[in-house]
Amino acid sequence: MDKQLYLERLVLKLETHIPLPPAERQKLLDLPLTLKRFEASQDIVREGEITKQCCLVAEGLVCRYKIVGDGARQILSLHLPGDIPDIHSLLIERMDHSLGTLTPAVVGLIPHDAVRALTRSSYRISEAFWRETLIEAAIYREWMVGIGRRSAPSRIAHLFCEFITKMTAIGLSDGVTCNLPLTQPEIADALGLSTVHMNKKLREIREAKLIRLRANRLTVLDWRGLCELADFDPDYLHLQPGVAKIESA
Amino acid sequence: MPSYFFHTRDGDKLEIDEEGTDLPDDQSARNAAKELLAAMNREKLPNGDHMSLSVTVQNAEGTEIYIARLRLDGLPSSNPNGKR
Repeated sequence: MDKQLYLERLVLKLETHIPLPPAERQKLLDLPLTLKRFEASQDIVREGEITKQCCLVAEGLVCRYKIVGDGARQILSLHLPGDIPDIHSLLIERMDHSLGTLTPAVVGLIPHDAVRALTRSSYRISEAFWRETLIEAAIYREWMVGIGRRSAPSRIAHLFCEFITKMTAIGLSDGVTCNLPLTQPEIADALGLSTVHMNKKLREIREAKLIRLRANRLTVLDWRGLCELADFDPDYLHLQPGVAKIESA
Repeated sequence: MPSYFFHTRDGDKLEIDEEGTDLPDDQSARNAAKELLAAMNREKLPNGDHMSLSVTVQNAEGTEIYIARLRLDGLPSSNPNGKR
C-alpha cells in the first residue's frame, strides 16, 4: 500500500537524525494520510493561508518560497520525500511563506488533530519533530551564510553537496549519483543568483570536472574538490554517523 | 524562448559563452547583462586601480544586441588632506 510506504519514508527521515523505538515507529505508521497529486510548479499551501493539516512530501521535490515586491522568487528550502515542510503549522497556523512543488509530486495530508494527538501521547515523537525544525533552522543558517558570504561557484557547489548528502541519507542516492530535478532558473532562485550568472559559474564547475550534470542527473566526479569549493561540512545536517557517505564516481 | 549568449571580458580576458541562456525577449537579455556585470564586479576586487569589465549579448541569429561596460579608475587624490 502506497500510504504505508510514504509513512515509512517519514520514519526513515526522522531516523536519519535519531533512532526511534519500534512502538513509536508504529505510531507514526498509523497516522491517517490523504494523498494528493500535484503537477510541477504548483502551490500546495500559499502565504497567508490558514491550514488545518500538515503536508508530508511523499514523492517529488517541494520548496518553500517567497515572492518579493518586484516579482522575483527566493526559494527558501528544498524538501525531499519524508519531509514535513509545514510541521510548524501545527503551532503557527497562518503560513508566512508558500509551499510549492518543483516537480510533479505526491503529498500526504495529515490532519493537525492527528499529529497533535500523537505528539501529546509520545514525547519521543514530539522531540523528533522538534529536532526536525531545529535542524531545519541549522540548514537555514547555512543557506544564509552562503547567500551572504559565499561566492557564486561556492554556493552552487554547496547546493550540490547538500542535495546529494540528503538524498543519500534517505536512500534515494547511492552516494555517487542522484536525480537533481531542478531547472537552472530554480537553482538560481535558491541561491539568490541571476540565471545567466548561475549558468556561467555552473559551467566552470563542470569544466573543473567536479561534477557531471546531464538530464537532471548529478554525478559527483571529485567529492573532495567539490566540498572544498563549497566550503561544505555536513555537521549542520546532524545526520547519524554513516547514513550518508558520498564518493567520487 | 529564444537563446541569448553572454560573452564576458575582464581586462584582456575574454570568455565566450557557447551554451547560451533562454530568456523571453531582448529586454530581459539586456537586464540579465547588467545583472551579470554587477555580479562580476562584486566577485572581483581589482588588483590595481583600474578595472574594465564588459558583457556582450548576442542573440540566436548571432547579432550583437547589447554591450554593457563597467570601468573603475582609481586616481590619486589631488587633495591629500581631504579638506574642501
